[in-house]
Amino acid sequence: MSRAADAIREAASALAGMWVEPPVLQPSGLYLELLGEDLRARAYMVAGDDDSLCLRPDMTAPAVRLALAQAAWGGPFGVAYDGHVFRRPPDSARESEFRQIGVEKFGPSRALDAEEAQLMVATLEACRAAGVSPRLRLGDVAVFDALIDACALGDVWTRRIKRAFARPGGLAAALKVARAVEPAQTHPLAQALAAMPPDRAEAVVSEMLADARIPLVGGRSLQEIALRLREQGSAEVAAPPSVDALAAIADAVALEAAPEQALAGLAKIARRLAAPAPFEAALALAAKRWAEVSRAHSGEALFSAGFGRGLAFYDGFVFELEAPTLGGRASLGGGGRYDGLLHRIAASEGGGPSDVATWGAVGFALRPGRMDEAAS
Amino acid sequence: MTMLTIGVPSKGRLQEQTLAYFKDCGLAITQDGGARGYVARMAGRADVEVRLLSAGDIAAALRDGAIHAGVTGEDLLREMGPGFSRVALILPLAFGRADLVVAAPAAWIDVTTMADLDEVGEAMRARTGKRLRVATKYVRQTHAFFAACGVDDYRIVESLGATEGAPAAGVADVIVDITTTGATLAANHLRPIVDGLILRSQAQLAASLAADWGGAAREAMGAILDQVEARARGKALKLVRAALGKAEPGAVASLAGKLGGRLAGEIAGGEAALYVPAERAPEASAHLVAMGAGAAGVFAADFVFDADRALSRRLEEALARE
Repeated sequence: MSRAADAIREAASALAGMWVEPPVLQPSGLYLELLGEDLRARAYMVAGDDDSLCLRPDMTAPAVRLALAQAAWGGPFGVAYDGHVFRRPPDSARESEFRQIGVEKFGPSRALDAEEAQLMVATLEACRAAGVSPRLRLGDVAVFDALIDACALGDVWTRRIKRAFARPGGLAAALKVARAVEPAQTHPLAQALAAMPPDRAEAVVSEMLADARIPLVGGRSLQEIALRLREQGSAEVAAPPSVDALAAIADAVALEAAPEQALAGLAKIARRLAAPAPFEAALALAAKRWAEVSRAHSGEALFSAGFGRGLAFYDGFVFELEAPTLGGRASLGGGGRYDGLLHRIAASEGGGPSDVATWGAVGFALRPGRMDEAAS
Repeated sequence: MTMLTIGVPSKGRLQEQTLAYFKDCGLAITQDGGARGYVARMAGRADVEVRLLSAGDIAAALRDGAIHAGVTGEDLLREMGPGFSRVALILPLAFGRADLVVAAPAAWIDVTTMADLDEVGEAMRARTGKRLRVATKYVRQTHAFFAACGVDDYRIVESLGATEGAPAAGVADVIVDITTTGATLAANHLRPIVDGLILRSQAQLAASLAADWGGAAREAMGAILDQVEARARGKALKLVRAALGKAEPGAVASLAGKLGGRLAGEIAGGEAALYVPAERAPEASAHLVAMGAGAAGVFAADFVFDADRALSRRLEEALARE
């Protein structure tokens, strides 16, 4: 018997009203839409008539699908699960199949904020019951997003830098590009279109293509093409983003320290920004969350605004429990906030409440196998 | 008595060019049992069996070790992913050239680079919740290339037939496919992305590292590679011969070196013979005459065998790594 599994199951039962057993085989099409083509390298695809299934690489999306299809969505609720997930290991030394026990909680977005700390505390208590003292690594994608918003870089650069954050090395590359922008390097056509009203620009593009006898193929409309050209020609893209703001972003992302220190450091950076209000609000939320969690955690904890990238679907707070004794950054599990994933699955699969866009989701999954190993 | 199995393409232009290539090397391939047979022999090599296979099957047979060597497209070999490590590229053949490229609708005049494609992919996903659809049969190379370019909001639509038609048919937005002149792309209203060249492909003579390379197979392949290499050298070089006359042997030797050639042997019997790059043969002859040699003639060399067996060595090194 697994001491860790018992501990996690107890914590999960206290948080969730029902246990679910999602199917092992999941539609790979949905996963490819949600997680991208990297899935092919990470998951086991099952050859079907049209490559349509994969072995579940995690439990979150399968649990969300079941909840959307079966739950009442009258008010906040949680589901728990206990099952195996399957991932192609990066090297032969790692396991390709392991057990995960976890909880996914759903509720009106605001109501869920209060549950974030509670969820993290539950995982820490499960660790204590299993005899493990983990290192807690914290991040918050919402803090990062608010930081970029607070820099007032304009729509295009805000979007580019937020996006770059999601991929390894992308942010450094985007900051470099932003620093190297020279004024007025935009295309003359784009500049001309930017100076026109949108419908006029669309008509010009349409006429150009008709003259050149180029029919429109692919899934974009003329309107989208004209819109993007106008954006490329806009003064905003031609103007380099503020050097001070870019330096503030780089400093903020480089910061990694105990949560109190890190949040204080970020608050200091906030004072350098053009419109710090949203960033300060996000920091306040993170500080409040940490105040609750720190009472239950005596071990090491690290907060970094740069943590959370590459974890695919989290869009708010994110945490990971690590076992330094197992070497490197061996993960015992983790979790976080993922409202966007809930909305995307609901949009593609249906189910759930009609106002699903106002609902949020948060969850955790722990690996009892690793926890037992770390305890022994 | 077959010791070595070689796969060659069973149809199309690639077959014609491969057969012409081996014929030119003095290794003409003739089909057993008429034109419909799928097994053939190689002139002068009773120990070789030639199998006529599709280009894709040749790549798979090389990966699996079902044949020792074969001629097929580099694009197909690389598409095997991890399996590509079981294949050694021995000699690029300079035919079957094609580029593996990313192409977008020509009407997307706002899109010229992979970075544009990345932004468009993000915008499509934000607007529709669906990813940019990329039609291709080159799934692995597409994935690796898009990842290297930092493009991730896309989804591969595997295509088995006419990939170029996928955007017009409404089943994809952009494609990754092989193109030679770009005419097919243009006919389908597509345009290559400027930094979207994934691979400059050509036909390769490749060896399987998974095959059983028992002594006789290795020896037979070595002999074929020597002959192929000798033919290439023969085409690149001319033999220039002249009576030595009043020319200094030392000066003749240094002339050969200066022109990127060498003496064909010791200067003996009053005759000088040197191999020089074909395009410099007239120059070499004129110099010899000016140095006091007799009439200088330029001769074609069908084959020039040499102790430097670069191709056999490449095979040996690849097998040694296994």
